[in-house]
Amino acid sequence: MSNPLIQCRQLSVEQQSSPILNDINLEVFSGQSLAIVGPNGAGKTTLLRSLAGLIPHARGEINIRGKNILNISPKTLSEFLSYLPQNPTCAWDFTVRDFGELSMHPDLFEHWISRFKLNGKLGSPLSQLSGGERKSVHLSLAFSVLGNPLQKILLLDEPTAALDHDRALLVALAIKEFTEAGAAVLCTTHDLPLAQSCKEILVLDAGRVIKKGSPNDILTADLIKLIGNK
Amino acid sequence: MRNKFGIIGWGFLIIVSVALIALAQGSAGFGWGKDYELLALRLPRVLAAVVAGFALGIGGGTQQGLFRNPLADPGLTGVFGGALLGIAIMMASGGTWVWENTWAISVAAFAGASLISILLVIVGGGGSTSKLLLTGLGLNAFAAAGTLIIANLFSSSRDVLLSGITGDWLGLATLSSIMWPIGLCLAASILLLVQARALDQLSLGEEVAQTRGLDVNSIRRRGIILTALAAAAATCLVGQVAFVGLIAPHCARILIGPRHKFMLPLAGLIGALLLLLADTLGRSLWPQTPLSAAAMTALLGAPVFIWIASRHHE
Repeated sequence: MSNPLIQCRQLSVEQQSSPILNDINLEVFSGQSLAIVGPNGAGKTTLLRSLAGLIPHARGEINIRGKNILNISPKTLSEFLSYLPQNPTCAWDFTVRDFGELSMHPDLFEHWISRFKLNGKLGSPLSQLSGGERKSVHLSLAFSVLGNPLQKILLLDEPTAALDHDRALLVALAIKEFTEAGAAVLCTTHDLPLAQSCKEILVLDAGRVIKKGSPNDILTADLIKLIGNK
Repeated sequence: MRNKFGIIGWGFLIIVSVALIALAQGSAGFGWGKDYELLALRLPRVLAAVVAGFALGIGGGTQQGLFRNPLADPGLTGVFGGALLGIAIMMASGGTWVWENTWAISVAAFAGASLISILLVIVGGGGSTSKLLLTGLGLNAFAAAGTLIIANLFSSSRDVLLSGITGDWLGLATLSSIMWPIGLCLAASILLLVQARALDQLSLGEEVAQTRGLDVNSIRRRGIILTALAAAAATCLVGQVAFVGLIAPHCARILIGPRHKFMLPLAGLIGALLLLLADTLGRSLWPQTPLSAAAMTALLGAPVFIWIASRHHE
């Protein structure tokens, strides 16, 4: 098997001396999609932010494409890692087209905008879009900034939150397409159909990995209760 | 895209036209006088107003972009107050030496503005709009108190400092006194314009900007220092003048959209137009008792500030 695109060894993260993540070991390879599930406060977002190089870790190490994340500059990391926060915002009333110009690949951005059925709204400012449409614009940007997905990493924090059924299905399909094209995709989610569509599921609780495996092995009735899905 | 360049082109033409009118308009009436002597007198004043307004528009737009806050303005966040305090300390400690070395005034203004900017980030940055503005107001009051105490203790510089507090220094402009601040205003403005793309990425939040390859801390440090430089140099030209840095970017966003590569240059042009109009109207409407440019911009700016605040309240 090739080297993992993401590797965590005994990763621990603390905030104000309180442990948020404890002893996380994880490997994600090219072509793999991993859904991170767990109850609120389990540390899902913290794990994703750590992997994006946004927060320091207290112990352990994170290697991205074989190199310690501490030795990778933000500019280099941005060439192969895309991150979508849980509640993406924009300080100003950009139009959808403006977002395309922020992407390094405006054509690819428009491709995703079209798949999210927003191609008639390229000139519309964000303030005239619904919450789900705004989320779709941020998703299109996250999907398009990396160009060719081969050996790239996509980190998505609750990507289907605020989306309707069709757009949520499109996100699941996009994750499948990215992994088939050679990317590694990690997403946190409370959306069980999205978790089921990923190749593997990792269950976090109180900052620790409880289980990791294929959706069929992982999604038992007890676990669904634990992650708070009804 | 072509429309946007067109708007900026029109803005430039309007500035040139209004500047020509401002050069011809004075308390002695309309015209350039015999042998153009009035033109020579008014040229430094008009140049100072245009360049200071340009720097304030761009500085305000940059500060709003850095703080992701439409209410940020170097005047409201205390940066002008800091610049003026720096000038006051230099005047009090330098005596006549300062007037022989006018570059020292620009350096002192920059030091004061930078100090207040750094305090603003340490105490008020990273929080809510209210926290930032209240911190700025507090720092401004502190700096104003310092300037007033110095003006009170050192009678030799009292009149100059008091007219600086009321934004009334344009009338003192001479070609030799404005050279340094104009150079600094233009240099800071050009360096701030280079940051436009980074400010666009920062619009999406610091974390997303960082994962897009931006060194957020470095961009913020550079932006704050350059904004302090622009505000300090503008203070040396005009004195304390609030609201230009607030109104200009707001109008620019309405006219051309929020992308910084278009918004910042247009904010600069609108800032230049605002300050030039304020100064020209202030000295033309009441020729016997001319009103300072700062008073005119406050008359225009205060209602706009209230309007923006009511739209963006938390």
